Amino acid sequence: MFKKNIKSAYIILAARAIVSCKKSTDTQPTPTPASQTQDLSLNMTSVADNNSINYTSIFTTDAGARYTITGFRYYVSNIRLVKQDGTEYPIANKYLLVNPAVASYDLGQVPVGNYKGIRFNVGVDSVTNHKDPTIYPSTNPLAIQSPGIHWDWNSGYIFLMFEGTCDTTAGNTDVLNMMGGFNHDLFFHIGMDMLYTPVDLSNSSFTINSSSAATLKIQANLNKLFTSVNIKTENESHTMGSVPLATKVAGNIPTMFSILP
Amino acid sequence: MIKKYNSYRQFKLLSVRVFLQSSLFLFICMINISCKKDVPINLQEINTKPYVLNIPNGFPYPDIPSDNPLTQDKINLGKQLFFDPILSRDSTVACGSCHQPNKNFTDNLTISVGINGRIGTRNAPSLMNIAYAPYLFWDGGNPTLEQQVFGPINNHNEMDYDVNKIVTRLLRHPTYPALFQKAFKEPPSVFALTRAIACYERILLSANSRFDDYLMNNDTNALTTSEKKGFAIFTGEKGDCFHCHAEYNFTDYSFRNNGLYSIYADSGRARITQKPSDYGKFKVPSLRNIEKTAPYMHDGSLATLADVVNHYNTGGKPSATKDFLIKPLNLTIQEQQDLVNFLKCLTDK
Ligand code: HEC
Ligand code: HEC
Repeated sequence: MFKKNIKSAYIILAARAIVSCKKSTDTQPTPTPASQTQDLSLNMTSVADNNSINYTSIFTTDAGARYTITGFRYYVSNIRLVKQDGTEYPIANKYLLVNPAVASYDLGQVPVGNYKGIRFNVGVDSVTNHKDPTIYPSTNPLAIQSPGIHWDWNSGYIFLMFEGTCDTTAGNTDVLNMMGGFNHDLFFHIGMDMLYTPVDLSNSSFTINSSSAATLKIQANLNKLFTSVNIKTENESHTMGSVPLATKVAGNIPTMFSILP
Repeated sequence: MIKKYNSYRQFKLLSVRVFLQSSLFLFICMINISCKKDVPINLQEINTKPYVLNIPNGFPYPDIPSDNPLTQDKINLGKQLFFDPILSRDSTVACGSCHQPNKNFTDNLTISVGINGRIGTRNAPSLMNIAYAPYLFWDGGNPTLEQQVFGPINNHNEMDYDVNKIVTRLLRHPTYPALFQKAFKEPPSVFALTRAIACYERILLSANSRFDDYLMNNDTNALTTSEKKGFAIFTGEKGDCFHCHAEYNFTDYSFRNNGLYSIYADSGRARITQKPSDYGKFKVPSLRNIEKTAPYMHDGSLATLADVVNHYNTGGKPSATKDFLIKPLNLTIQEQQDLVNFLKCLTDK
């Protein structure tokens, strides 16, 4: 059953590839000359509202609950630049594992021009999600990472991994322990095909010109991940076993991101 | 019913032979082609000579992944890794600590114990005939023997380590780099480590019991009268065990709720699929060498085979997902004993 699904997914993917090839030849009869492309990289930053995040400070959710961060990583894939006419320029086979310690992610050469914005998914498409992660060289973000971001007990990637601690006391009276955290774990390991989450930032125009390499600044506001999540009580999800909470958190992912000028 | 079962196996046997020969042929062709492509002649002879499984009578040839053909060097390396505690954080626990050959690759514990005496959540299953399993773990959450290797390595209660750090350890080791070079023509890597261990696991075949003599080798005296009666209950309407514990490895690899509980601490297959209809369902385990793998069930909650037979005889605890085959069997004391005796004749000689 599972294998069949994968197979049909492959077929769909192959069919899509054919379709999209046709499309691009239809709309662009002449191939874009090499000089008309430019290197694009994403500058990915993470904040909690107005504070940039780190692994030592205490942060406060919009609902007033306190937390600390020990880890925050997520996969970005299916990246597409949205052209002025609304069509998309896909950046194929690019998988980013975004980590607050690294700001810049190279996307390679893209056509110069004016764009309406960018779309991507947080997570990994279902075909890639169920491939054997040992087939990648260790430099590939899809290879087994340290610390790990792949489930072995329900084979697939963790799309977004937030780990930290939280103050679960009613009056915010918990004190930091020796490890620099509160006394309750706070973690969301969001994954599974159904939570492969599209992000649409097609309302923030930018221009890529031929004179210099382009950088698009994208900011993730962690506090948005906790919108209507009461972390004093809703603080642990491995997705499996607590799908409703994982779905709620994943539902907040699209609101986390914005393009900075 | 017994007739049907026998003839099914005989039919199976015929088709298996054909399948076996053709798949072997294909397999050898495949290896030849891949060798010719990019391996110098001398290395080809030393390293990639295919290891052909000695398949028991009536068993199919298992699927071997195309990126991991069996070779003697990989099997040897995999065996060494399987029994080496170097894979665990504090180098105290090996795969072989919980999957012990003299216990039919189990640990005879209710729940397995990992590093620092940490206790897990499930009973260690046997690895005999694991080459045939279409998915792994009690809930089937892992797809291949290669990927399964991460399971115990990452598990906090088992080896609690990190496969990339194991590779670093192996790279610095005095003898492993040469063994990896010999088997894979490359230094230790996550890919090679997982391939080697899987190769070793795939050669663990078991089909050498008195029952096999009786059924496959036509030795009618191999079983006692009581065991033969037990076999009739197992395959007949009375016990109906063979619906789930089917064919050569005594499992159809389906997920079933055999009525162990009304409320399960471990939701089983539902943990993976999130479907309420999979609640309390576990992969049907093989019954080969079952005498040696007590205690029983995913949580080791039944201590003896008599307890297991008693469980089935009562019809199990009610729940929405309990299998319809699990119902009171009304077996007499003697019939229960016959069934236990039958299960014990599945032990390899
Ligand atoms: C601490 C004990 C322990 C260690 C160490 C351990 N295992 Fe296991 N093994 C288990 C348990 C318990 C299960 C069942 C887990 C589950 O179903 O969730 C299992 C399941 C398996 C399975 C799946 C069997 C099936 O029928 O689905 C395989 C294969 C396996 N282990 C191989 C290995 C390998 C290879 C290693 C070393 C890398 C290893 N194990 C180390 C306890 C252990
Ligand atoms: C509806 C399918 C089904 C039927 C019928 C069935 N079983 Fe099982 N059996 C299972 C499943 C599933 C398990 C594992 C359950 C668990 O671990 O929670 C199991 C476990 C066992 C085990 C323990 C194996 C181990 O390694 O722990 C034994 C022994 C066993 N069954 C014997 C029998 C006998 C004898 C019969 C007939 C009286 C029978 N079974 C009928 C599905 C079935």
